[in-house]
Amino acid sequence: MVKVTLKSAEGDVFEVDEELALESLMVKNMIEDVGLDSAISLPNVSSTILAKVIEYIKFHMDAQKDGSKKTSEEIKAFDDDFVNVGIPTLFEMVLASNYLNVKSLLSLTCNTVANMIKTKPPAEVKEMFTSAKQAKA
Amino acid sequence: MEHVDILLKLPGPSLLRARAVCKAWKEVIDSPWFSNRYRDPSPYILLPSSKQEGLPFCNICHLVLGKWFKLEFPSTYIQLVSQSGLVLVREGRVFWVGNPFFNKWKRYNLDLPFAKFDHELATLADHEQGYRVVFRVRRFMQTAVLYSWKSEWLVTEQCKEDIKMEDFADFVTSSSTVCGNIIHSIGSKNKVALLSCRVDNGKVLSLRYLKLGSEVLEGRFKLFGWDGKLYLLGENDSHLFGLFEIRGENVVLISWAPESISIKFPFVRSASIYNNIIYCIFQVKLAMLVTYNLSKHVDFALDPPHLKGVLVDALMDLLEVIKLSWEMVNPLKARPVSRRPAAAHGNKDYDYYGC
Repeated sequence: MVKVTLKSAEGDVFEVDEELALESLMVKNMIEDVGLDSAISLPNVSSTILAKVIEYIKFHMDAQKDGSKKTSEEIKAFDDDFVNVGIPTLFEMVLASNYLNVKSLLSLTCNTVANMIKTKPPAEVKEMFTSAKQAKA
Repeated sequence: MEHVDILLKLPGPSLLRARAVCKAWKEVIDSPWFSNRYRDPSPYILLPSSKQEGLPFCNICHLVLGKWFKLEFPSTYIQLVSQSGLVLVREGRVFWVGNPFFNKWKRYNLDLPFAKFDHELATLADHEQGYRVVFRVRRFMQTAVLYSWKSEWLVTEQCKEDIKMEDFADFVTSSSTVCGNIIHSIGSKNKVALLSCRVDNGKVLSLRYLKLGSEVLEGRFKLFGWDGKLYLLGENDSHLFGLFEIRGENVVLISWAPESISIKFPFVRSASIYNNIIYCIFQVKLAMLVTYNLSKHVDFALDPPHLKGVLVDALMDLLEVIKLSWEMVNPLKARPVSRRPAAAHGNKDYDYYGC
């Protein structure tokens, strides 16, 4: 199995299967452009978030494989648990999945945020986004 | 602009509120780019409000938020609702298509002198790049498929099948649906036939009778599609009510409804499907919402508990279930339309209009 080396913003190195890395269209394009020899650096993604993204892709790839015994309830439970994080982390995951171009994760995280804000009045939504920005800065 | 991805997933009324969050969001939401892509993912029920003078205006109940909204045009103008909540409104020979929450409409003129409009034969097709208005019209004793894309009307080709197109014109069309790139509609005289044609060029792909076992299917049905499959719901000629799946020209029974439902409510007023759950509204004297979960093979459930209180007597005047969908996450607090104050503009729930 061919390995791909991903480098996070902090410079931490993650070694993952090529198959897994190709789930990110952004990494896929990078591999096509520069090849597999050098590490692919992802300056916009922190180590914690990158680890989460890899965990997510890995779970869903395993779940889709033939012979996987995971039921749709288990997958849903994993997804629910996965996005059950603080708002700052959730926003960072939205940004990361957008940057890395992982469609399924982007859709999951955006849906979660949409569900959070859909019943809130504008002022609360504004506050939520501002405080998430401050937490990041 | 990752915010856009989040905004695209908001239900209609929340989106209108999101316009008030900041200027950047307002600009995004008002842009043509956004309204071309936005599809409301949530369920509505449309009800004409009966207790008003003049033309009956229309109320829309958003089931996720459990709120009522008032639309700015009479309910009798509404002809059709697409799977993603687009509404087709008709005033004489002029048609508008739009999302009722945005109050932005695109105008179409049906200027074909030979074409007689019959809303039973029309379909509003959602397409990835936008929507198409598709009419089947009667012309020269024939049924033609008229479709519109970017404001021009185009007419379909004829095809050679076991039923002739002109025969299909006599059929009573009970419903149509869009599945991927194909529009399906069913019609029946004594026997039920399925007509399929393409959305993009209107070409007729097939027109044939449906078979249940070795017999041709007879009865009254509603047609709808989900996840690439077509389903029929209705009553067959021996007055048994059930749910069927269409596979090619064969119809396969999925489940008969229990007697408690089929005796009281033989007639399906409207049916819709989302997330593997079928919602249908029955109406004889009383109206009732019935659900069926395809993925779990749960039997027909009458008046599901999470929707209690919404439907009650309001459904007496039911116009159409637009698109019942989504998992109903919140308990509903909606009130029946009859108890709602008539002075809508002073009501806080309606403030989002025209903002």
